[in-house]
Amino acid sequence: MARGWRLLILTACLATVAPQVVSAQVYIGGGFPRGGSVELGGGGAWVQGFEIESPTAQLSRATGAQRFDLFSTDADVQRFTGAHLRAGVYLTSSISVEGGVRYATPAMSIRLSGDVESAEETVATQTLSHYVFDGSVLLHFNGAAFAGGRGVPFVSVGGGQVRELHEGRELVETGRAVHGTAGLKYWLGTGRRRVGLRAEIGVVSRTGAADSDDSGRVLPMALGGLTFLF
Amino acid sequence: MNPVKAGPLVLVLLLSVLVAPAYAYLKLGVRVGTRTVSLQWNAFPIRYFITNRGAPGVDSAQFESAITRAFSTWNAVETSETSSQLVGFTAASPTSGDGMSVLGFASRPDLERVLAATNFIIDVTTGEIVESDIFFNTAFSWSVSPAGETGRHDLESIALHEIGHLLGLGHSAIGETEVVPGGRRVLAAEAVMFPIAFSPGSIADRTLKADDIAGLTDIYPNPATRRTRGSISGRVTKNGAGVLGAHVVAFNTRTSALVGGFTLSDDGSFTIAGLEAGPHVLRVEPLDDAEVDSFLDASMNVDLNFRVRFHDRVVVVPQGGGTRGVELRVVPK
Repeated sequence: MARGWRLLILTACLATVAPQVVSAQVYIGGGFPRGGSVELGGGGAWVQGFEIESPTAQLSRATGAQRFDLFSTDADVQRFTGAHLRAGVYLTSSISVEGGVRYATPAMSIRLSGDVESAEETVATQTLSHYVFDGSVLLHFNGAAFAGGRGVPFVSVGGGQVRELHEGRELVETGRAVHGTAGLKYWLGTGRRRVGLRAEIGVVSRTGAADSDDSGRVLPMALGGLTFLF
Repeated sequence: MNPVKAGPLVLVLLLSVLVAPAYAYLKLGVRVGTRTVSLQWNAFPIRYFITNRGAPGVDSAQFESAITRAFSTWNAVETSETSSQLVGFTAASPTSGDGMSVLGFASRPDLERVLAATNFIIDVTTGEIVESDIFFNTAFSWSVSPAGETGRHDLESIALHEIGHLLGLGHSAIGETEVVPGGRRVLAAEAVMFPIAFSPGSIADRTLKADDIAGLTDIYPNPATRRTRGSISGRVTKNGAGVLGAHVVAFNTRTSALVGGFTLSDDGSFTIAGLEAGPHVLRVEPLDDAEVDSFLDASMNVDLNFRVRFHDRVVVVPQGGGTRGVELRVVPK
C-alpha cells in the first residue's frame, strides 16, 4: 500500500513537472531544432538532362503507306545547374515542411540531320528559363545524428509545378514535378540561431512543360548550399 | 510525268474588276496600289452550283457527292470559319463568269497537263472573291471509287485542291519531286495544295495536311484561333542581300506539322502564319521541286542558286503572337 502511494505520488509529480519542463524548454546548444523553428536556405542545384521526343519530318506518299523522310531530329534538354531558395518551418524536432523555388537556364538542342537534299547537319538551340515551385515534407533522423548532433540525415518528399519559358519569354509551358531526396544537414554552430551546410541527392519525376512526353521521366537531381536556422 | 492539279490561275475580268498578278504564297493576293490584299470570300456560305454533266465513270450525282465531301473537308477545319451551300444543278459552264460559282467537267484537250483549274472574279479594290468556277478536264480519266481506281484520278482529291484555290489559297511547295522525261514525278508531298498531283489511283490527297490547315486558318481564323495560333517572320539572305522566292518550311517538333511559306520581296522577307504554338525548326530551300511559275509570278526574279540549309536556332511560336526578326543565311551552291 505504502509502495503504491509512493508510485502514485511520483507519477503525480512527473505529471505536474513535465508540462513545466516543456514550457520552459530553451535551446541550450547542440540539440535539435524544435517545433516552430524556421529554416531558410539556398544554393545550387543540378539536374540530369534528358532526351525529348524527336519526330522525323515526313511527307506522304501516293499510296498513303510508308512515309517519306524529309529530315530527322534528335532533341534533348542538356543537364543543367541552377539555384534554389527554400523556407521551412519545423512542426516537431524531426519533421519540417518547406516551400521553395528552383531556377535554371537549361539549353534545349535539336540535332537536324539526314536531310533528303543533303542540307548540312545542324544543331538548333534555344535557352529555356526553368522554374520549379514546390513544397516538401522533411523527416529528420535525429536518432542517427552524429558529431554531437551537428550532422543530421534527412529525407524529403514533395512536389510542385514546373514552369518553363522558351527563348523570347513569350511562351510558357507548365508541368508537374515530384521529388524524393535523401540528404544531410551539418550545423556549423551550436546556437539557437546557426548556419549549416545542406546537401541532398535524389530524383525528380517531371511531366509536361517543355517535355512533350506525357508519360513523365525520372531524373537524378542534387542540391547543395547553406541553410540558416532561426 | 504527273499532270498538274491546276494551271496558272486565271483572273476573269468583268467590268470594274482588273487584272492582278496571282501571287501564290499560302494565300492568293491582288496588288492594290503598293500593297497586296489577300483574296477571300467575305460572305458565307459560299453558294455554288454543280453542272448537270458527268464524265466517263462519273455521273452528275457522283460528281455532286465528291464535291460536297471536298467542301465539307475544308469546312470542318476547326481553326477556321468557312461554310458552303450547294444551290443546285445547272447547265451553265464552269468557266462562264456569269455571277454563279459553278463546278463541273469541261473538255479541254488543249490543256494536256491540266487536270483541273480554278477561275476567279474578284473585286481588286478589296480582294473579295465575287465568283469562282472550277472545271475538271475530261481529257483525263476520273474516279469516285472509295478506294481509288488504278489509272484514274481521284475526283475528291483533286476537288479538295481546287476548292482550296476557290477559298483563296495558292500553291504549297511542301513536296519532293524527281525529274522524269517530259516533266516531274511526285515522290511525296505534305500538302493538298502541292501543284503536282499524285499518280492516278491515289487517294492520299483526300485529307488536309498541316500546311493546308495553316493556310486556311491564316485567311479565315475563328476568334479562338486568333488567340492560340502564331507566326514566324524574318528574312532569307545570301551574302547580306535578300533572297527572292526562297521556300521556308517550319517544322513543329511537338506535332510534326510542316508548314511552308515563301520570301515574296527583294529584301527576302517572309511570314508563315497559322502556326500552332511551340518550338519549331526552320529549313530553307530553293524553289526547285516544281516550275517556279506554279507558285510565283513568272516575272519575279526568283533565286534558285543557294543550298538547302537549316536555321541554327529553335524558333518558338507564341500563342496569339509572332516571332519576328529571324534571319536565315544561305550560301550559293
